[in-house]
Order: sequence, then structure tokens, then C-alpha cells
Amino acid sequence: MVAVIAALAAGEVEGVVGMSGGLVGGLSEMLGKSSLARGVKVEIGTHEAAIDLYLTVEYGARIPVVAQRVQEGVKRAVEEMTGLTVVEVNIHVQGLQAASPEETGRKRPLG
Amino acid sequence: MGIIDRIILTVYTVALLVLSALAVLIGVGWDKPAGVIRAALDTLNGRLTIGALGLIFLVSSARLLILAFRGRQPGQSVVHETDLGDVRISLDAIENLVQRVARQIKGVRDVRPQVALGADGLHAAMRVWVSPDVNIPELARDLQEEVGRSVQGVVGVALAGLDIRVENITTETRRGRVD
Repeated sequence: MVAVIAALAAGEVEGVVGMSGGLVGGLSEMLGKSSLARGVKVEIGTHEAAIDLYLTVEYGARIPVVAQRVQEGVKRAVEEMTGLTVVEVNIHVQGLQAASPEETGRKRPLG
Repeated sequence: MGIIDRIILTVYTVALLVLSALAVLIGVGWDKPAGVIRAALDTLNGRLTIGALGLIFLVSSARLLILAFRGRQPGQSVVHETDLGDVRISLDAIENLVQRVARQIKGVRDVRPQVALGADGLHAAMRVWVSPDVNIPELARDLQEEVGRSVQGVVGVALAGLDIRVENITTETRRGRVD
């Protein structure tokens, strides 16, 4: 649940294109792991949580800036919704990807 | 997943396809394969073959299973430590960036970048294929400037070195014309 909150919060940050599922072949996803929480690893104690996020960042964005926004957004969202204290949000930038509107438009069939 | 694992996976899937098709046929009543296997079991060579096949399947199953559960290898990355946690930028991502930036420079036909972390910082090396109508020293300078600037801007770390190796001068485009 925390993973889903973290993933959604991260996805809202400008410059984040997507989450990269940390598992080869997506086998574990097939085995029933929620795809909403793809690319998120969470460690939860009784009062604290540590979160690892595996991201793809928009090409051209400044990674440290995007990363900081993600860290802040995820920390805020998780703390507000769960009451846990988030001690760290580690960002792993796995790749860069163009996210221009014309590119997403090209993939979509016309009509 | 490396190329070898992809090959293993492909062969594995095809072999399973054939075997399962055989099993269906045997189930329907085609008894020749069963006869062949029984005959093979009577000879030493036949038994060795069946045993070896089993071993190959066992090993590749184990390998694929481990691969699936071990997850992506962490790989090397550039680390920024912040108050809120670490920010790790994988070298793959940086290579990706270098390639995109370099390709946008006029006169560059293709680029194969490689980024490594050395003792003194981030090093990039790239093999480039260039058009015949460029001045290579100028192009190299442009490349170094552009790539250096965008790595600094995007990753937040200056390149300690950027080596360029011009592989060939070519008119043909080695890549697709669109990304």
C-alpha cells in the first residue's frame, strides 16, 4: 500500500516519465505483484519507512532537481496518508526517455 | 537480461513448445515417440542423451528462475547524497544522455558511448562515426563541449574526461532516421 502511494506520488512529479520495474522479464509481476507499485521498494517498521524508487526521467530534465521534487513529494504523500515517518527516499535513475507530446502522439493511431 | 540469457530463454521456450506438442500427441494416441524413448532407454548412449537433455533443462530452468527473482543488477551509478536520501543515477542513463546529445550534433552519424566511474570522477568515452564533410578536430571540440555541458546540467556532475574515437568516416546512416 505504501508502495502504491509512493509510486503515484512520484508519477505526479514533472520530469518523471515512468517507473522501471526492478525485475527482469516481469515474472514476479505475472506472479501477482501489483503493477501500480512497480519500481518501488519499501521497508516499513512500526513508525518509520524507507523507500527506494526506480525511475525513468524525462530527457532534458535536470536529474538532481527532479529527484529532489520526487523525494519531497513522496515523503509528504506517504507521511500524510499513513502517519509513518519517512526516513529516506532513495532515487535510482535507471534511464532517460523522451516524453515530448509529439512522440506520445505519434504512437497513438489517428482517429 | 543479457543476450545469452535471451538465447537461452528462446531455445527453452521453443523446446518446451515441441515437447508439449509431443506430449499432446502422445496423449491423443500417437505411440511412436514413447516407443523411441523406450528403445533409447535400452542403450547406454540413449540413456546418456536423455540424462543430458534433462540436465540442460534443469540448469536453464534454474538460471531463468534465478534471473527472474534476483531482479535487475544494481549496476554502477553516480550518487548524490541528500538529506532525504540518496539519488543514484545509473551509468546506463548517463550513456543514454551522452548518445542523444552527441547524435544531435551536425556531422555525427552514429555514437556508441561508454561511461565509467574512475577514481577521479566520471569518464566518458565514445566511438563516433562521422560524415565526410566535417572537420574532425572541430567536431570533436563541439562534441566535448556539448556533451560536457549537458552531463553537467542534467546529471549535476562534471565529466572528468571525455575521450573521442572516430571509428570511421561514412555517408551512410547507421541508425534509423527517427528515434
